[in-house]
Amino acid sequence: MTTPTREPEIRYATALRVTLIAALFVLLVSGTLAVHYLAGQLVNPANPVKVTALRAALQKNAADETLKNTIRDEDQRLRQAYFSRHAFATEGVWLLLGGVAVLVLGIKGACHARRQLPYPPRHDIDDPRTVAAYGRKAVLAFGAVVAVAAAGFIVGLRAPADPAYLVRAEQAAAKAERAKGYANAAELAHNWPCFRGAGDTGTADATPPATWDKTTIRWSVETGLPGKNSPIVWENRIFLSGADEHKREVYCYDADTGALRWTRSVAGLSCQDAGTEPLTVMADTGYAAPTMATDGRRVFAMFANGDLACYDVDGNPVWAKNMGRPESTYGHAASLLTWHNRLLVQFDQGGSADDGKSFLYALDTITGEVVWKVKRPVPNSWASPMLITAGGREQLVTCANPVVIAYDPKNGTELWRAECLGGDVAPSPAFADGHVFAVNTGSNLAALDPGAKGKVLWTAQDGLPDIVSPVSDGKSVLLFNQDTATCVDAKTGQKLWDHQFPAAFRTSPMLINGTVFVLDITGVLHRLQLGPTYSEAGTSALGEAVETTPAFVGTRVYIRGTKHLFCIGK
Amino acid sequence: MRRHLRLLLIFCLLPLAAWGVERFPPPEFSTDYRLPELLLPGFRPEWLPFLDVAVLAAALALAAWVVLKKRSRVGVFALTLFSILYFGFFRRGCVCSVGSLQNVAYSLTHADYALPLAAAAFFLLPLAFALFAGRVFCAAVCPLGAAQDVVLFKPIKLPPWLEHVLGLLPYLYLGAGVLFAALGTHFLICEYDPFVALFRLSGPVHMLLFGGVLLAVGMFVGRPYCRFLCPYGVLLRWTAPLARWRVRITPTTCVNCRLCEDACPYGALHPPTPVGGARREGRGRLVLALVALPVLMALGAWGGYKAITPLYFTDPIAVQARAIETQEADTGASTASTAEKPVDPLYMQALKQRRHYELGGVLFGLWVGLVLGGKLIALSVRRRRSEYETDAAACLACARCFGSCPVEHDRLARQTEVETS
Repeated sequence: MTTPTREPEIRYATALRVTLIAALFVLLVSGTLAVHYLAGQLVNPANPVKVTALRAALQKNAADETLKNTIRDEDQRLRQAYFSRHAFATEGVWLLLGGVAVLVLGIKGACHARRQLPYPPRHDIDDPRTVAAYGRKAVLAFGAVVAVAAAGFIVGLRAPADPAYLVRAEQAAAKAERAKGYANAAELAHNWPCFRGAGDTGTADATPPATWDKTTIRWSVETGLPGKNSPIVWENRIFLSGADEHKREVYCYDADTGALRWTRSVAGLSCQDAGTEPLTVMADTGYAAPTMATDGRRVFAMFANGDLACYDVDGNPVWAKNMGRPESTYGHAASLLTWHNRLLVQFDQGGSADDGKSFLYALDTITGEVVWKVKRPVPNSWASPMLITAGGREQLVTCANPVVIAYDPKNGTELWRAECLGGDVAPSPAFADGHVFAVNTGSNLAALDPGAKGKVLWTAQDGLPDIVSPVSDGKSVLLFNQDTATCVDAKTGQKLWDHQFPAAFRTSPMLINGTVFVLDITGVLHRLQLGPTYSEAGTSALGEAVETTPAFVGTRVYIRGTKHLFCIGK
Repeated sequence: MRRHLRLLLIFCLLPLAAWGVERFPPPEFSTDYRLPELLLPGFRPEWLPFLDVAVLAAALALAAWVVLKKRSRVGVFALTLFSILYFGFFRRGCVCSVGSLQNVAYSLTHADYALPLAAAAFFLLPLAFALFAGRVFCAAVCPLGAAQDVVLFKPIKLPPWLEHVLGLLPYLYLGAGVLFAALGTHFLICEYDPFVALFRLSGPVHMLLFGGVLLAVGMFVGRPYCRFLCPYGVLLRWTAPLARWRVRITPTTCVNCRLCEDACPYGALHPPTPVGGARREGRGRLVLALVALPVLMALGAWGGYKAITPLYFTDPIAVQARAIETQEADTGASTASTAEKPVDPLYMQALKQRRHYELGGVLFGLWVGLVLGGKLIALSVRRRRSEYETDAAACLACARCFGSCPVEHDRLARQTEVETS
């Protein structure tokens, strides 16, 4: 029997012996396993050197049965060796694990037997400020090591130049990203994105040549299918549409050379309301009267049968749909307009407002899905919508019989309406000095205040046009009806003057830097100065009939004649 | 009529004959070779992950009770052995909380990946317990920590400066682990788990050696992996200081006897601080460290971008894209104008991945800068202690220090007296 004082010593001695024996065992097993592992590396069934050589020999002598049997035997031997080694290793690892467990217990037992009671340390407590100071230095040194390692990594792993596939993917991604967006106001103002320029207000900034003749015509090209729509311009691309009873097409021309960049045919869109009767429209309107629109990334074209197509500026189809065949006496003519990522479509139809067929649509420019639509209490009309900023907000102004209605382009909420028109409304409104001027033959020229809920400021009845849209500089309003121009005071509606020209007008006048540019149907350009008296600055003859409104971009003018597209200017 | 119906029925049933046809018919030639029976590993029972989670929760609760209520080192050791056996050898080290943070990172960056319940629970439960009871997960539940804990025989105290430096490594490892998991390329923490090969009794030799070396070092340096590498420990370090119940060496009032000064093998025990000192100097140093933080982060972001982006070329997607590009070139598919060719979707995916690497590099660099700058700030802040305190963030709740405290001995003696009387 051991005395209590010797008991720890005995425990320690026992634990020590157990530890030594376990350590020897662990070493022995570890060594054996290591040797076994290294030996196993020489015979690997996954890489049978001998079998591979034998197989190569067999290929030369395929009928050698002895060789085949040798290969089979060798293969079997390899596999048996592999599984035998695997079983050996598994058993060895368990033995090793057991040995380690005993070893740990032995060491633990030895430590426990020699455990000493805690004793206060003889040294002083380290000053934490000194510890922290060393710590900071060490951390800074570590940071330097990390920096050096990173530098070595950067130098050692110097990235190769981007492979071609990445460059192509970058370009495609940039294009896709660009396609998702839309042009900003400055870009729109710099181009000619819709009928009568950005916003369809009838005014624009450009420096077109004052006069032209054959020498200043930069180029002219023959156009395709007929169309009464006006050209729109985006950067160095000009877009037009054309159609007849059977075909509908969209054209893109190079603005510098007039070369046809692409043509797309719009076909195969289902028209549920089409029925079997062929679509007939008035010849003066045609099958492609609505002017196209662009948001800078995509272009949109609409036709008399309700087909609406969207392409990117390179001509790749984005979406297309049919809005339903419009019930329009003369043929659908309202031009398209974009606002942010919305395409705005004034789709007035039906013989009476009671038909309830007229809608204003806002379509998603990327998908073509209807974002919002509002019912309009009007029959068919031919005027185009106008986008203005008044009363601190953007307003979409529409004209029809009998009302001018302004909507919030964001969600279609009606902002105001003014009952001042009548008849078959075709002229689009004009906007100047914070006032909207709406007009139609047989009813009124009305000045409205869009900042005051469309309050009618005055009405006048002189020289009311039936097709041509008005233009105003804020001081006077100029109207063209057939071959007569009438100018009225923008503040009062009093007639200032009228003037008869040799030919009639169908194109809408544009106010470019204070000068009115308007073409008569014979293709003669008239430049007029707005003021209390009639003043013509000059004329230029194009030599071809014109019924569309020109596009003024920079120093150039693009005019669609009845057969040709012209570029005038440098 | 009945005859027609019978015929119709037969016609309807004819397609059923197709079911009788074997999908892979045996060869029609005769041979005496017998095809071996196809053996497939069985599915893991669906209830087993629930069992794992239940065991984890129970083990955590038990650990908290043993450490905080019973203050028993023996209890902790017993639970340690259980964790090695269950989470280590039985569950083969997977799923583990340390690796689960990668599943979480991956699920946050890959919408098509559903985070398994077990992974989510293994990630959250230890953190939840740490919020209330400190790092009881590290105490005896984590198999990685447990394996190191049992081999700690003769702990030596590392110089504090070395501890400060080595203590930064888990943060960097955490950043790298999250980065590569988020990129979807590697589960770095699992690939370089030093003990999983030991628990599985099989694995790459270098990992077996790494685990063996760590255990050998762990005989003298307390839990080297937990303290100087474990990325999950970083998360526990953040949550544990918020715990309401945490390890205190002395059960009542510290008498500053210094008996416990060397009791903690993990450097989680801090002595009281001396009174006084130059405050101005300390303040200036702190301001300097605060200024250095954004500079370090900016440098880190630049360095991270430069260092990580080239790794993109080793990404499987990049390798595949390169191979397809080479194939295209070899087959002459590129004879058409490249501008006209549609871009392979894989290239777009590769480009996306490349941008992820760029962003990941910047974020990783920012993180490294933040870690270094944060450490400098932490070392510039003066802390005041009037008695020996456990560092709540670093304390692994192993219950070793209790035995060094005379107040604890006194408590146990009183308790024994009460129980015997």
